[in-house]
Amino acid sequence: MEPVLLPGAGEIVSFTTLHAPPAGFRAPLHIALVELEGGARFVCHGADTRGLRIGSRVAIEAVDSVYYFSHLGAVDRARLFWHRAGRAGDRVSAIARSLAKRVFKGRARASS
Amino acid sequence: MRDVWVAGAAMTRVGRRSERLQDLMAEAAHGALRSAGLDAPDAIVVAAMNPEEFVGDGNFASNAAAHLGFAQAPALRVETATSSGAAAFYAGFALLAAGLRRAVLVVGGEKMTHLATPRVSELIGRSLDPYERSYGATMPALAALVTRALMARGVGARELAQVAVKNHANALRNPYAHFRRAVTPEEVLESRMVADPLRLLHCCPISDGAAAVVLTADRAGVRVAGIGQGNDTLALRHRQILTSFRATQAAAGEAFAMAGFGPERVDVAELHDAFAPFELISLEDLGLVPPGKAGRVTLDGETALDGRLPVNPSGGLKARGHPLAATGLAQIVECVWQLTGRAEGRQTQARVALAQSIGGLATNNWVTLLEAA
Repeated sequence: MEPVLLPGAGEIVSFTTLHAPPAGFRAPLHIALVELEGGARFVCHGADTRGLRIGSRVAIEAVDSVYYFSHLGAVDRARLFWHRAGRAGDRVSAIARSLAKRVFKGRARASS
Repeated sequence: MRDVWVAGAAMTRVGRRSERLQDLMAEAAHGALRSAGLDAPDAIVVAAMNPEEFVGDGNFASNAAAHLGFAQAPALRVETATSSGAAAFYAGFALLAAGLRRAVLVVGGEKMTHLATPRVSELIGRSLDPYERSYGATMPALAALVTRALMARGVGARELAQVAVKNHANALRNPYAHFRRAVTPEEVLESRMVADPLRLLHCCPISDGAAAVVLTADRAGVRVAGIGQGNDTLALRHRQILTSFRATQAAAGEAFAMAGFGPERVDVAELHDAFAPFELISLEDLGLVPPGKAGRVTLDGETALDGRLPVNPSGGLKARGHPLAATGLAQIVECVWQLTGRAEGRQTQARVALAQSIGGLATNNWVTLLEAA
């Protein structure tokens, strides 16, 4: 089993935890609707929803063509944007924007 | 287009029933024919969401018609998932409006309490997008995604709980209801978590039951003023907005355009509260309350039985119960009773009634407007 990393990260549109999931799934089953940069929305599984909010930045990866989200902390965010292509200045600005967005995420989503 | 009238209406008690689906349908159908003073219909429209899986019978239009004693009447079956009853009503309406028939029996029913809950959930879940289902998404799971987005927009837990509290209080006055007991906001807020943030008492029960109406070309007590259908993507992830249903908005637009009046004329409404938040979303989608106000209005008692706009006097899907294909017709039966003074114990003063039915996760919705003659 080899994980495939998708380029980019996404934002939580909504999420839930099923306490009695259908046959073939283990409880608790964490499901999130994630919007990737560019607008495509994915249904994903995740390991945890603690600390997760609508508008939270998450990383998405596919394992055996099932998508998983994981919550990004400030350090993970900085790392994610540091590794992306582009000039150093762009990277620093992406990190700054991402951190700023984290601060304002509650307000930004409340009006959508 | 010719005028269409509702000449008769009847339903069974909703709940855990031991009778066969055909027997439940017969009870409702013969009741509706009796109340219309009609011996036999020209045609029959049958609504059943999934009798093949729930009870193991197919060819269900003929099956039901034969069981009713009208084996030779033209019969057809209509299915749009959980709004099948409303869709069947539309088909019956269309037959009369086009002048093809003069008296049509529309009957819908479902029988599912004899199956285990996970099996019922799986069968209902088949109305969802297959890809989303492959992630374990069920109807409550997707409704939970909608609910969390709604709460992020400012709808509070108290407001959600109040929908269930109100509808249980109404069902206490309805002898046909599945649940005839009151619940408190605390009970709702402390009930078992089903799909975070949706709790057990936010969700409708699994119910058996049937409902029927007789539609005629001859003038009767209630006129079908308007009817509309609205549709949306099967997949929730293909929608930009989670906190309102395009399918309800489109259906309402069609229905009000046909009726020639707006939401301000509606005196009483039966809404599809399969999950408590859906009642709040629907109130706004239908234009019955201004955007963002449904929670406040509910908490203030405006949608209570004695409020400005009584909503779900029957108890709604939440407490009257949700026997799938019966539900859209049960809503219309309640509206007819409200308009003709036959809603004993929960009677409102109404000249115009609205019924809204949601199919699947709001992929195939219906709005019906009825007016007292």
